[in-house]
Amino acid sequence: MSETAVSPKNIIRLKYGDDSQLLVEMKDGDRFGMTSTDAAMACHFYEAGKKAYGRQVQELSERLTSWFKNNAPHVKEARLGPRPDGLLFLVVMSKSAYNPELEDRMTELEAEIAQDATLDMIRLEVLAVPDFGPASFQAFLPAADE
Amino acid sequence: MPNVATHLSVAHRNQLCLDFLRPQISVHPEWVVVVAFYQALHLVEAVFASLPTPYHSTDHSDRRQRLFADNRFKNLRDHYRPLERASKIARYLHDDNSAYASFSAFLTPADVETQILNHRLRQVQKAAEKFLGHPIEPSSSN
Repeated sequence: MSETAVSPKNIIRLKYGDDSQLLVEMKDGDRFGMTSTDAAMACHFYEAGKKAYGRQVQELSERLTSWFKNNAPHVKEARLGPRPDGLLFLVVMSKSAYNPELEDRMTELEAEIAQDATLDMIRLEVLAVPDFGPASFQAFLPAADE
Repeated sequence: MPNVATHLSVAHRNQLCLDFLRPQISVHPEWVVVVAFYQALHLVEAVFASLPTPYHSTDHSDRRQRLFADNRFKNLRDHYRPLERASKIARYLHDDNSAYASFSAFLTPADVETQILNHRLRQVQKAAEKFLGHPIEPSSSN
């Protein structure tokens, strides 16, 4: 993730322990107030959560790469992308025909990830689709950079 | 929150729909898969509703998490997930010409019969019967 340079003039200082009140306005128009201390704590937890999630996604990515290599005869290409309810590991099969063995291996992979306490922030769905060119990815990961 | 009987009733209606579609499986294989998946979904929900602390899934993701969180559900999830995936492909995979042609290249009508109906769905039914402690009303074609 890239960091954007911020001009000192544009910095909003949010100080823990300060008694000032903030008015927060959300994208949907919802507005609510909180103390700067609560806001500072919320930002702290958000940052910590974001870093922890990033570490888990990195670990997941390594596991999925390993799984992909181990299943190389059955799979041709794969992508990991976001979905509203978590992450989707979308695999394009080497052949178009339904592969019951690969289905079982995908379910085993999903169970392994779901039950791993070190990946407790991850919600992963695994899906293998036949190879119909770019349509195979676009139908399920429409934001992918085709 | 729907109870066990409600879910089994909906599953039975799905089975009636499958019985209706089955003679036309070569014409509508994707819809056979979708209906089979929804039958499996209601069987899973019937199992959840039968637990000492009944559970009702809020969405597909929540249901998957619940199935994977407890190894008592291993047989259910091992056959439910392939049904869910096949149903997703049936609903969302389109090529430029015909979604139906794409789906048949993936799952032929014969595969839908053997892999989806006679294997995966049947195994979900068996796993659900074990939890519920009684047979699920058989369909005319089983």
